Amino acid sequence: MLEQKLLAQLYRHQCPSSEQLGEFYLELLSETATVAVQDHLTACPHCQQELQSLKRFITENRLPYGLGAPAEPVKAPSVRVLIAELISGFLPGQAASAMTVRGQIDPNEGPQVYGAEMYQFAIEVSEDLNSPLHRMITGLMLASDPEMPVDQVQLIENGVSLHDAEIDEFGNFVFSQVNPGLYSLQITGVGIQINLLPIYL
Amino acid sequence: MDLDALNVVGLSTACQEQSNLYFARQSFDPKYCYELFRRAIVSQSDEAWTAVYQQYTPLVKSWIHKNSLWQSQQAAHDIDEVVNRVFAKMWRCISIEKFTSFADLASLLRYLQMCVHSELVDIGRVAARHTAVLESETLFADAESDVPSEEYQAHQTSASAEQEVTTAAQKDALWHLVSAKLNSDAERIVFYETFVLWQKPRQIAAGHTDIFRNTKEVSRVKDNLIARLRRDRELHQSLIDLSL
Repeated sequence: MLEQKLLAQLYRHQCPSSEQLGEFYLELLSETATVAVQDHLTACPHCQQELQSLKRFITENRLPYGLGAPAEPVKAPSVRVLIAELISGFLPGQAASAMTVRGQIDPNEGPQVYGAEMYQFAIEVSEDLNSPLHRMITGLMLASDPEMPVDQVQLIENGVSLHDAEIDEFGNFVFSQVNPGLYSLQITGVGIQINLLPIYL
Repeated sequence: MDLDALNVVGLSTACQEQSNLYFARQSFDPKYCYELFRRAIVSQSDEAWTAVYQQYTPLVKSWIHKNSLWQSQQAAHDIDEVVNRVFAKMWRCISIEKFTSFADLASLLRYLQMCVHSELVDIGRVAARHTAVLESETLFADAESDVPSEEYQAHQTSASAEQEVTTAAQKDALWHLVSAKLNSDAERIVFYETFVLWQKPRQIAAGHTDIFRNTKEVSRVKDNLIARLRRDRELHQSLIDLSL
């Protein structure tokens, strides 16, 4: 059919390539090419969406501190390290289970609250409904030091960072499809690192 | 340590050690990894490129997993193949001359990160076009078919609707041919937004309230335009000439 042929051949035929769009974002294009992409973006919802998703991807996965200067060794900034301990893991009046006492989180038990100085985090482990053999860790930042905000969480096993997550504007973070095992969580911001005591899932 | 004195194996080892320090958030020196990229791209050393590939494959894989586009693609695509295409894209896109734009390791890794997204966007674009064509089969199936030439009908039976145009020049030729047959701004908008952007009449109407009073008006312009293009023997002949 004529219409399908036109669509198949003309669909997005004027869009810049995905690399051009990426180089536009990274400001690597020539002035002429930059203007052309800018013009195109004003009329193309698909490219606008792709550019937004690129911005989000690069922002959410930004390279950690200090990766830059090629000539001089980079000094790690001084980081304050805190250890967050279990404050409460059960409702008032309810006894802690044996699992909680030995640092193991029961998926059915509800959130455990960890704290260090002004920081408090509620951590809940549940079965991952999308993946029955795995667990899901849901975290909520209950309190923090406004002078030293934190925004990143790493899930660590045997000293190796397996996954990282952003703390969103409401203080939430999630790790899904986690194998049962022994893990620690490391929560960081500029100049601050909070280690949660290791937990068994 | 003098970088020039290091061979690729030495550089690769130093790069790996420094990267481990970096990911452990300790003091590190990025110059070895940068030099590895430089030798791979500027000196075109296959050995250095292989070392770059080995060093950064885990990072590229982790980026792919974290990219929201991958969630809908992973069932149909092999991640190792995507990783290969990401590195191939970077290799293809950064020429020796262009390497001077990358002053440090961070900028190179950001480019590699961009290539991850770009590759996933490419996969998404192909899938979106396929979906658009499939949707169009349903949408256009009920439309009245007006006298395409016998020659064109015969050609149609042997050509897939999704057949790729071999060159951008052919696409441009087709675009200019059809553009010349559009009689008003309303038709130009409807044609561009239907066949190039694959927007629905409702979306077109919402974006051009100064031209269209409602969705019905967009549909009317579109139906008339399609009916006219179907009757256009020159367009049919040109499609055959362009081997589309």
